[in-house]
Amino acid sequence: MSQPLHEETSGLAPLGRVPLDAASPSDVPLALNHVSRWFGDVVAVNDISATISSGITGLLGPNGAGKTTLLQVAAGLLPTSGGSVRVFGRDPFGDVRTYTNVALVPEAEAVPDVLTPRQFVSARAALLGMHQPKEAAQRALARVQLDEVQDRALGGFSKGMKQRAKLAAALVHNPRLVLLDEPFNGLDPRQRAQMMRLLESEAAAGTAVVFSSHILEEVEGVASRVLVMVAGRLAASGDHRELRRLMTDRPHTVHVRSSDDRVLAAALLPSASVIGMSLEQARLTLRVTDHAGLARVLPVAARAHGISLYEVRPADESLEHVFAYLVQR
Amino acid sequence: MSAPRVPVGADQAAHVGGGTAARIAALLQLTAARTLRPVPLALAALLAALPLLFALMFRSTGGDESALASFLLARYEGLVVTLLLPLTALLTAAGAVSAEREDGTVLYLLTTTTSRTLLAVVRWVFATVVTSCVVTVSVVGTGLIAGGGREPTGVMLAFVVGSMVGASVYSALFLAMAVWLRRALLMGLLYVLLWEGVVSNILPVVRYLSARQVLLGVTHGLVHEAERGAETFASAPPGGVSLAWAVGVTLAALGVTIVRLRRLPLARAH
Repeated sequence: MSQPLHEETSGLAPLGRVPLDAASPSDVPLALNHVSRWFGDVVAVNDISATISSGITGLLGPNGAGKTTLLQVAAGLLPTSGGSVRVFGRDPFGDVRTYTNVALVPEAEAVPDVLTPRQFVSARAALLGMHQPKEAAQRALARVQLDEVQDRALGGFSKGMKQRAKLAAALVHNPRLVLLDEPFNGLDPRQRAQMMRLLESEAAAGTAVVFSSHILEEVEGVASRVLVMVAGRLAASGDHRELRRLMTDRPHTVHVRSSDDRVLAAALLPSASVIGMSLEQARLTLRVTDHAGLARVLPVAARAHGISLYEVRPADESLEHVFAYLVQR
Repeated sequence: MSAPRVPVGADQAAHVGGGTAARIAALLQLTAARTLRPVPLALAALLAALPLLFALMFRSTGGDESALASFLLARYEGLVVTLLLPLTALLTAAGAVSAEREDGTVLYLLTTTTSRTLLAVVRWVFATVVTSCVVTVSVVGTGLIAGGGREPTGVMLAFVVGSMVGASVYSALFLAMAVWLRRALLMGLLYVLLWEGVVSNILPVVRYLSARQVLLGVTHGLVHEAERGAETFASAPPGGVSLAWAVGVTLAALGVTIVRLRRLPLARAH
């Protein structure tokens, strides 16, 4: 699907020290060098360095991690408070020439409701200075499969169709760097798969695609490289398989309620999957190396001692916990 | 699925050197789509119709020609200059930008290769032209109805010209407000109702900071000698000075709009 990436595809890079691409600066779609951005006393982006080349890069992080701010800085819409950004070798901020090669698809669903997709995308093409805006719009709408409804008002479109119209407006001039802010938000599974195919198609054509998401499955489903942001910082970056392994192999905490927690705890002690436990306030808390191991031994132990299981609940499966673990590593 | 790509390498100037006319047309289309909506249009139509109703009443009660000039001065000042003109300019100049900033669609304008100067100038021209048209219809309609098909006093034409100058100043001011302030429509309304409606009438010293007084000053320079002593123009600066101010304020407001558009703050994410 996507193009091979550069130096960090085989593992996680050291935080904040991502070496620059060896290619000449003007060929690098996006280079972030110790980029920070703060609003008053709130630090939204904190000392992030990374280089983005062609292919699909997922920007993964919980809400409030600074993903949108980073994308806006990369798109030249916000100045940095520290560090530097280079888009194809140029500082993008305040330079409208940036948009010759760059497109940003915002998270906001809003589009000019009274316009049709054809009018909207064609207006974008004209504002981008294209010689044949109508023809360009036609091609872009065909790419996102909206050509059959191109004369219906956008106001009546579903969220997924609006997302595709936004994408067509962004892709109308064949940008070489496409930044998408939460493009899968609110899409149903079919629309999500369609969006993934679109991004893969863009990447296959040589475009550098960067998209943000707070859902790991979305990112690993399509991105060949992942940047993990937590609280404005780059927590990890690298190949999504390595990231997945780190996330699943970490120790997990599981809360268990049963008819006899004490006996159950004693029965689980010999299990290799359980590396620690505590019993307090009528609740057994287990520290386990892997969920699969626990899933095998827990029912066996319960049945052997005639214990009824009322609740088995992972305690730290939220993305925030996973990210916190990555940051602490 | 993907379309043929433009060769990667040097800037894609080859396919993005399109004309300014197409950019202007696209900007006008996007602006009109956001501005010419049912509610603003109905409000402008209502305000434009008010002086026409007064003119009908004036005419139906005899329409004394000797009272025509004072009738028109009172209606133009009280309804057109005070309400119709500034509120139409507010809706057309600040309405689109405010809405676009609010819902984030301003990004579709800012992430293009169109210069911020062109963005600002087209929006200003749009607001000025639409406001001038609405006001002209109301002013001319009122004058002709009240005068029974003719308007010999010259007040009507003076106000048509003065209103066009006023539309230009107000549009530039409200456009600047829309890019500098988050609640531009509210601030614009406060400016019209409080600053111009109250403060500039009480304190003549601030008359140069009132677009209304500046447009009245321009109009004052255009009316016949007989109407120059009217109460309507009591606080207005001299005509020549007003015109210079109008040009200066318009250019300054456009300048700060362009500067702001180059660094337009976006709504902070989450």
